Order: sequence, then structure tokens, then C-alpha cells
Amino acid sequence: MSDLTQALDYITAQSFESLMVLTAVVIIFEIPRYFGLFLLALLTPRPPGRSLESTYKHKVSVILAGHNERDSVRRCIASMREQSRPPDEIVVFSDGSTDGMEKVLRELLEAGEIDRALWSDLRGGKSAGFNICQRMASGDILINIDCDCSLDRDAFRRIVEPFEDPAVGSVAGNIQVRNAGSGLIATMQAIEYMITIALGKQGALAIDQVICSSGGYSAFRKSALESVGGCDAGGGEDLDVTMRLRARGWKIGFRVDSVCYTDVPDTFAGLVRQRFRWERDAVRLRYRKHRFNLNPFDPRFRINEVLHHLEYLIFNILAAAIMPFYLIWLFATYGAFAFVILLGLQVVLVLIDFPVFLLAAWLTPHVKAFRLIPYMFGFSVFNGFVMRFVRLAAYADEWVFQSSFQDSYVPQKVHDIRSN
Amino acid sequence: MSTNSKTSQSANQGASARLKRILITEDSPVTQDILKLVLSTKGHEVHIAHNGKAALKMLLEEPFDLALMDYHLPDLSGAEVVAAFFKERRPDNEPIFIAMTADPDAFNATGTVRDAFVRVFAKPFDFNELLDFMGTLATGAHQPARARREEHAAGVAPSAPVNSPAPNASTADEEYEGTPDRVVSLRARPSGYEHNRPLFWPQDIGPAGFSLGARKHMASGGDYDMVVVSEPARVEDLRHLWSLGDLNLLPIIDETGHLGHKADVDLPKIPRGSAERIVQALVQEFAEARASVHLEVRQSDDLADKLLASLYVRSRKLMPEFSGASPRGFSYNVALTESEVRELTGRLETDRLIEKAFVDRLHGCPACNSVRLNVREECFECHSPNLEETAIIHHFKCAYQGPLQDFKHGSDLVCPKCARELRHFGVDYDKPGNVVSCLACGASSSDTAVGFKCLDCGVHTDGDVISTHDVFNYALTDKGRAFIEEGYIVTGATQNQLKFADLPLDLVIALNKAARDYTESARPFCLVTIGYPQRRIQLSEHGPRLVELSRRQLGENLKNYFGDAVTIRQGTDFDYLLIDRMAAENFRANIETYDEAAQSSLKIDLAPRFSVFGPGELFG
Ligand SMILES: [Zn+2]
Ligand SMILES: [Zn+2]
Ligand SMILES: [Zn+2]
Repeated sequence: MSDLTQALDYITAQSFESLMVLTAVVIIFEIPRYFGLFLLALLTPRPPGRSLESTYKHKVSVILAGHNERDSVRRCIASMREQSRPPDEIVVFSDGSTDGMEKVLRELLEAGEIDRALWSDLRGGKSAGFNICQRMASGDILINIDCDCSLDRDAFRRIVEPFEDPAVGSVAGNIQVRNAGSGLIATMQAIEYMITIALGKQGALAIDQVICSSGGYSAFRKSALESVGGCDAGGGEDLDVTMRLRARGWKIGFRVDSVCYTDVPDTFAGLVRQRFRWERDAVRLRYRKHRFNLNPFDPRFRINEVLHHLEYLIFNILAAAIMPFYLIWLFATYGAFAFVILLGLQVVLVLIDFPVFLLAAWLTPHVKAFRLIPYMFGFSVFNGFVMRFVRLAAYADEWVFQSSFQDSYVPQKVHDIRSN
Repeated sequence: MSTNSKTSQSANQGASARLKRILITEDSPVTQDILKLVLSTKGHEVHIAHNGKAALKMLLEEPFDLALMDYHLPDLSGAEVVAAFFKERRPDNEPIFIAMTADPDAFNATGTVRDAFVRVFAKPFDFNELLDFMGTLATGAHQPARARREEHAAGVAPSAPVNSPAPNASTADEEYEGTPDRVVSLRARPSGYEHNRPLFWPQDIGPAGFSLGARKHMASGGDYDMVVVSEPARVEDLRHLWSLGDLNLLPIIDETGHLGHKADVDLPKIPRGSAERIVQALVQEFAEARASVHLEVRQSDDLADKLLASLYVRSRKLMPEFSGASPRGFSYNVALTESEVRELTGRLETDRLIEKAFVDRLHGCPACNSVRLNVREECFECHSPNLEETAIIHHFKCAYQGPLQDFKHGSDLVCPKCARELRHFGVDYDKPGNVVSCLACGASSSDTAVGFKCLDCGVHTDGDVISTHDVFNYALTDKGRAFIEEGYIVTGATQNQLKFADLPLDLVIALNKAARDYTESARPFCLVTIGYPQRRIQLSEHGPRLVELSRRQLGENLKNYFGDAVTIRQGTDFDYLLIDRMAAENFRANIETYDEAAQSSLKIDLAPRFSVFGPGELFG
């Protein structure tokens, strides 16, 4: 306790300038980002609810591609049947499953639970699976969903509404954590998803900065997909296809009230593997495939795209990269006192995170957020330090080894042929 | 109308008034049925006794005007019944006795008892003659016993079959009087069965039932040993075989081949030379098997019992034979319709008299039940069988994945997404699976639905809602076999009901005494019946002599064990044990000990079955 009082004494004794230096990392890399979102989200009115009938103007197809999802596909289909706006068509593709998933599909097809069942003997990867579903689906709105997801009753109704605007090519759904109770790691991610997806994308929507219609749960206008040729080979296809839709001039929407639940990794190792994959794919796509976005002389250059590239560069890459230097500096300058300073910074972060989290919770009323509040302090440590180091490691890995080309999520035959 | 028929008609009308109550004692189910049928329609009150003991009991208990007795009964002979009757009857109980016998000489040798009969008819007798005689009895010509001798002597002399001149067809008697040409048809049977008495379809048994000739033959105690189908017939046409006596237990020789496996001999399928031998052997076999069927079962009117007996006599399982000739798809090897078989086997199986075994599962049209269906692969959407299967192509480079036709560009494969040509299988692209496209509605899927289209009524049914039904074969269980051989004592509901008619006479008397003691002084007793369910097997294994000896030894053992308290009588099917001063519960409690004592030092295992009856069960 004495450490804490000492730290507070120390902090209050500082001049404004030295306080700024001390808290630079927080101020630059945390406050503007989330406080900005906070303000944006506050300013953005909640989307108006439209009548249920209006959603029937479109033919809605659900496309579901999965590998070895025998056990989860039934529950997933059942939760779709429970929707207030059930889909008009369900297309399921079993991508080279070896667990007998196609038998389940056959039963579902015979029972009339699904409309198209396709399967292959050889695995082709997520993009190819998405593409054949897109090819076979007959709806003008395609909802892409992972087999292990489950849905809020109004999810489909709400995700279809933004397509009223003919400029909208895709709408991201609000993905939240289902297994928040299964340990600290999952609980931390539950808070993270609340803030970065519910609040983050809601804020981003206000300034047309929704960059990723996540592969877990999102909707696409079929004609928009066809205009970009669907998914390309390789990982991070959801980010890739969204960026290509944006490049084609399609608007990307987000519905905070279209909630989909998914299980997140509940071990640290699992989480690290997942984030390595995400960040590596993001880096590869942004700074290799979509590099033209940052080239002012490229005809496809748009200021709108520069914005999110900058945001990513500063808040993800730079914030992670500067972390070790900051810590070294802090300990070199203040010695053991650095711990207390870091502790103090955490208190500040919690104070910021609190209203941010509450706003996120307010935005997604159906998600039970309040049991997460006691974990807020832990979250600040998790997000401010742990995840930054994880990201840093991932960037380093991709930069040096181009590991995304060996990703086990993409079959070897696809790796072999891919050039970029 | 002849005078003859006029008298007989009026005489018969009088007969129904005077000879009101008639007792028929006859063990042939066919003769029984037909006599009862004929006499009932003439206004008589007809009672049937299946054996001598039952007849005696009925005669002593209720007054009859006329007793028509078969002279050769399985237990007591007609002579013994009459003798016992005259010993015990009340003075005013004075029925008229008429005997029927196939062996008049033996009858004549019975001495004084035969005097008790006013007339003897030699089987097969002329039924009109019987009716006429009943007429004369009714008109008051009931002569004193002394005068009867000459009368019956004349009757016994094998008189030429009397065919009375043709009467007017409008009288009620017509169908039993017989017209000459029908008699002619009776005689003008197809030849080839010289040693047998065949019942011919359609000469003797036609669509409308039995011919006059056949009825006469049966009513007069004549029997048949086979059914010959000489013109094409359906199972329904042979329905009458199942409604009269035990005619259903006769072998069916099908000369036309139309009945297939429903007949016992499909004559066209047998080499000419061996037909005679095969038929003779079968007739013999059936006759022997029929003799092992318990009288109660042979006399039963229950179609289920008849089916069971049929399986027993034919010593075969009820087997389905599959054929596209009928919409049902199969038929059973018995001269019944399939719906009858289904209903009857259901009942028999519930009673565990037969057991079923799965043979096949048939799919049937829900509209018309036909199993003649076209099975097709169909589109899940529109049920069209117009399907085309194509490969899925995956272009690695751009991740496009779709059916082959998307890539077809003349003879080349060109990716519709990235416009690259696909050249190298396994490097540029592969074919990870197939997709089936419907040419009727355009739907596609990796799989097809299964549908059925009825070839008989055209109705379409989805594979998952098609009705199925299972086809079984049926075999007699041990219980079913025991029931056939030992009668109702075996089956559940009647397990503990004992028919006094089955008991030896002196045992009935002893039983009456025991019952009296029981009511007067509450002295307990029990009656034990000992059955031998394995008898047939034992007979064939050890021979009748050893079985008989062992059975007698078993009785001796019990006699020694229980001493004076026991009365033991040996019957045909059962042995009986009347034990004084022992309650039924006590016997049941120690049944294993008694079983052991009974079988000690026996050379063969008789596997006796004890059924115990206390006073309550016997008289309550
Ligand atoms: Zn391609
Ligand atoms: Zn179709
Ligand atoms: Zn039909």
C-alpha cells in the first residue's frame, strides 16, 4: 500500500511537463484512440430500427463453409432457424472434412433444414470454400458465418437493414465472446471485444473507417462480391475482401445490434497463436498486397484509406514497437520506482477504460457486460502490456520470416502457388 | 313332385317337432359340422359331443330325443357309452339311439348292447335315408326294443346307394336330395386318383361352396384325403376349405400351377412319372400328421387355430415368396389371403404359439400400398430425376471454386474470376469433389435425394416418408406344437381349466366322492394331470413300447410314493393323479421332489408336465 501512496505522492509532485513525459505512452497510444471512439460513438445516433417486412425485400442466403464441423453445424443451423428474420436459403460447404460432416449435411438436406449441401474430398481452404458457397447461393444478400457461432434472435434482421442503402457492399456483425466465463484469458477477450468491436467499429462507422467485415460473421451484397471476384487465396481473406470492396467504392457498414457469439481461445498459447495469425495477415495485406493505398501516385489512392492505414501504423505497430524502449527508459531513469509509476499509469488507464467500457456495454444491450466490470483493472494490464508484446512478436515474425505463407489455415497446395 | 319326396318332406317337418333335441357324437370335425348344419336348418336343436365320455355326461345330465352316435370313438366305444348310460340313467330319460359305423361287422359282434340302437347306418350312408328314417320315427313308428333287431339288421346290410327320383327343386330339401346329373358329375371325376378320395375344385367345392355330392358324402361320414384343384383357382376360391371341419388340413394338389407355392403340390412342376408317388406319399404324411392334431384343435372354428394346425400338418414355416405379379410383392405359402395371414399371425404371435423371423423390408406406395416402385435419384428441390453430375474445380491461384462448366471455354479450362488458363492438374487446380445439378430447376448439391414413383398409381413419394413394412417368416414354437398335440390345456387362458369329459370315468366318480368329502368335512384333495409334451419326439426316438413302459413305471413310482392316498389313472394323452388329503398348494410347493420321485429309475426322460387342480379350481 505504501508503494501506491508513494507513487501518488510522486505523481502529484511532478510538474506538468514531466508528467506528460511519464505518461506519454498512455496519452499518445491509448487516450486519443478510445476517447475519440467514445466521442464518436456518443455522437453517432443508434441505427434506426426498420420494419421486419422491409428486410424481406432481399433474398437472404446464409453461407457456411467449414472443415470438420460435424458436431457444431447442427446447432448453428438450429440457431438460424430461430431468427426473427430466418434466412431464405442456407448453403453449407464441407471443405474436405474427415469427421463425417458431409453425412450430417446429407441428413440436414433430407430434413429440409438446409437448401444446398456441398462437399469436397480435398481441403481447399477458407477462401475457396467461401467462393463456392457464393457461387452456389442464389440470394442477393449473403450472410457468411462460422459454424461455431451462435446468434442473437434479431441478428439477421439487423444485419440486413443497412443494405437499404445501395452503396453498402458489406455489413460487419457485432461479434462477441460466448465463453467469457471459461477463464481469465477468455474474460479479458470478452472485454476487448466489447471495446474494439462494439464500440470501436461503431465509432469507425461514423467516419467510414470499418475496415474488416470479419469472416466470423458478416453480410455481403452478392453483386459487390462478384465485382471483386470474391475471396482471394491466402489468409486474412476477410480483411482482404473488405479492403478490395472499399477500393471499389463500396461502403462497409456495421450493426452493433446484430450480435453473434463465438468461442475465443481460453489459453494464453491459443490466444498468441490466433493473434500471430491475425497480425501477420494484416501486415502482409496492408503493406504488401494493398501497399498502393499509401502511394499518392497510384490511381487507386484515396485519403479515406490512408486514414485507417495510419491508424493501424500508429496505434498497433508503433505502439507495440515503442513499448520496449519506453520500459527500458523508464527503468533506467527511475529504477525500482518504475514499477510504481507503471502502477499509477494503470490506475489512469482504468479510469479511462471504465467509461469507454460502459459506453460499449450501453451500445450492446443484449450482451451481459456488467459481470465483466470487476476484471477491468486486469484488462488494462492485459491490453496495455501483454497484447502489445504479442503483437510486437507477430510483426517481427512476419517481417523477418514472412510466416503467413506457411500458415496451416491455408492448404499447402495453395501456399505453393501463391505469389504475394 | 314324387310321392316319395312328399312323404319325406312332411315327415321331416314332423321330425323337427318331435325329435327336438339331438345329440351328435362324432369325432370327425367335417361330419360334425355338416350334420349340425343340416339338422339345425331343419329345426332341430343340435348338440355335439366330441367323444364318448362327453356324450355320456351330456346324456346323463340332460334329456335328448335322439342320439346319433359314431360307433368308433377315440375313448369309449358307442357300446360302452350306451351300456354305462343304461346303468345310470333316470327311468324317464329315454333317447332313441342311432349308430353310425364304417365297420358294420364289428358292430354286429358287440352282442346285446347293439339292441339299444334302433338303427345302424353304415358309413358312408345316404343322408336322405337318415332324414327319411328320422321322419318315420317322428310319425310315431317308434317300435319297442325287441322289434328293432330285424330293423337294424336290414339297415346294416350294405344297401345299394339309394338315389331317389328327382324332386322339385323348389323344396327346402332340394339341396340334400340330389339330382341325377349331379350324382353323375360326382362319379365323372377326373381320373388318376384311384387310391384316393379327392375333393375336386370346382366339381366338389366351387365358388358358391360345396356341391350336393360333396355334402352328401361328408354328411354321411365320408371323408376326403386331398384337395385337387383341376381348374385355375385363386386363394379366395378355396375359402370354404377353412370353414368346414378340418378340410384345411388336406393336401392341396394343384393341377393348374396357378396357386404356386400356396398349394402343397404344384403338379405341372413335377416330372410326370413321379407325380403319383409324390402325391401318395404326401397324402400318407398328411394323414399321419392330422392324426397327431388334438381333436379340440381339429374341431376349432377359430381360423387362427386352423392356420396353426395347417402349419403343423404341413410341417413347414409360413414363408413369404417374393413376386412382382401382385402389388403386394409377396405371398405366403398357405391357401389364405395375405391380409388374413397378417391378422392371424399377429394373434398367434401374441400368444407365442408361433415366432417370427425377419425376412425383408418392403417399401410401399402410401397411396395404393403397391410395392412396385421405381426408385430414383432426384433433385432435392423439385424431385426431377433429370440430374447431371459435374466436378468441382478449385483454382488455387485466385481461390475461385465452382462447377466445371464455369471453367469450360471450348476445350480449354479458363478461370471465370481471374481469366487465367488452367493447365496443370494438381498444380494450377484440382477437382476436390462433385456437384449434382438439376437440369429441371437449376438447383445444385453434392448429393441427390431418393424418391419413389409408384408404377401402379403414379404417386410420387419422398424417400424419407415412404412407408415400409417388414416381412417375416413364422414358425411354430414349442408351445404352438404342444397346443396342437395336447389341445387347449396348453394355451394360457384355459391352462387351468380341466374338462371333466377328458377324465376316465371311474376317476370322475372318485373325484365326485372327494368333492363331497371336501364340502362336508373340508378334507382337502388335489387332482394332478401329467402331460407329456415331448411325446412325439420320444416315440420316434425310443419306440412306443419303451415309452409306454416308462409311463407305466412313472405311475407305479407315484403310487409307491403316495401310498393309499392316491388314485392313479392312465388316459390317452394324460395321466391323472387324485391325491386325498393333500391341498393343491402343498403339491405345487414340492413339485420338484415329486417329479424326482416319479422319474426315479426311469430309462428315458419323459419330461412330464404336472398341472395341479384344487377343489376351487375344479368346481369353483
Ligand atoms: Zn482464377
Ligand atoms: Zn430440380
Ligand atoms: Zn401407388
